Amino acid sequence: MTATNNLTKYLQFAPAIIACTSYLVVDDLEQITTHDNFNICYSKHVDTNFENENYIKYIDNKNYSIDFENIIKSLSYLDARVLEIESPNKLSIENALKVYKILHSQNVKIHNISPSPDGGIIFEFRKDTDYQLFEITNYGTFMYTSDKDGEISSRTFKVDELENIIYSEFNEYAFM
Amino acid sequence: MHSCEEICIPERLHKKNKHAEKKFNSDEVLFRRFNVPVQLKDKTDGWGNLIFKLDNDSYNRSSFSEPEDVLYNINANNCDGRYYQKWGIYELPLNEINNSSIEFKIENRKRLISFSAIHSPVDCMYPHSELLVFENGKQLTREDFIGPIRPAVRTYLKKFGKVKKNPDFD
Repeated sequence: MTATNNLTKYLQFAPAIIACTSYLVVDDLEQITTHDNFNICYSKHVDTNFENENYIKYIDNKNYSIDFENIIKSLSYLDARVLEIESPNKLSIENALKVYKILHSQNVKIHNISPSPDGGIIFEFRKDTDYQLFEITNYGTFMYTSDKDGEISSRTFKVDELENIIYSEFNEYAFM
Repeated sequence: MHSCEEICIPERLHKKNKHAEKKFNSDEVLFRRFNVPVQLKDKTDGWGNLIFKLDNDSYNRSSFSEPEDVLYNINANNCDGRYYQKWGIYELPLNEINNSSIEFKIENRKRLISFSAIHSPVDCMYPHSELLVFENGKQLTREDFIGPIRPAVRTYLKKFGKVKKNPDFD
């Protein structure tokens, strides 16, 4: 029964497993989540410099643009314990990818992506002295922070408000 | 708990019988060690978010230490782990931050936040200091210091500091 279940699971995720194992040793592969056009591959990894076990996330994103690939690389391969922060979890990575898709569809230029010290992922945007960021937390919340004309404001938002925020706050950031 | 000698912290940094010096000079800076993932090696302007954890952050004050002293690990188990050789050093000037107030708009509500540097020596690190965050004169507790106030405070703090030493990515 277990063997049948494993086979069913393997067949279900076969394309993802093949994609993930193209850059991972099979034995390292612990978990896969699949999405429409990409897979997230979770691996247990021993960092040779610090000899700590770290879970790292590899994202197979070959169907996306080079920009997207670079962005994703910034938030994966993360040695969170070495940095003494909480690693972005599956929820924040998935939500960050939703945010990315919307930003990408609106042609908003992302300046930088980094892990958050609070756990999660940060998207940053700069224009002259103005600065804005989206923070996607490990707990499923979204925050928008801006520093414009010397005033710093910050608030939570729902992902379906994102396009409105982009429309009202990001016009000058787009590179359409 | 190991003695300062057992973990090879230089004697000049030991607290011994010295007391905290409350007053900070106007030109004083705080040093903080930090590390960033190698993926951000060339994204230096993205490092700021990783520097301020806002969780009882530790610093060394410049009056009593050299920048590199902040790389000593006073929680090491032995001399081998005493120094974060590859970590970077961030320098935060206090002149515009210490004891000044700033108004943030959080969830569409104005909140008055201030920062206060305190010297809090520990046995093996006399220069050890903290930067406390207050709202309306009351120190923010962990329970109060959640949600969008955190990225707002980080955004403010990183406007003033600069990287003194880059992390070593080799």
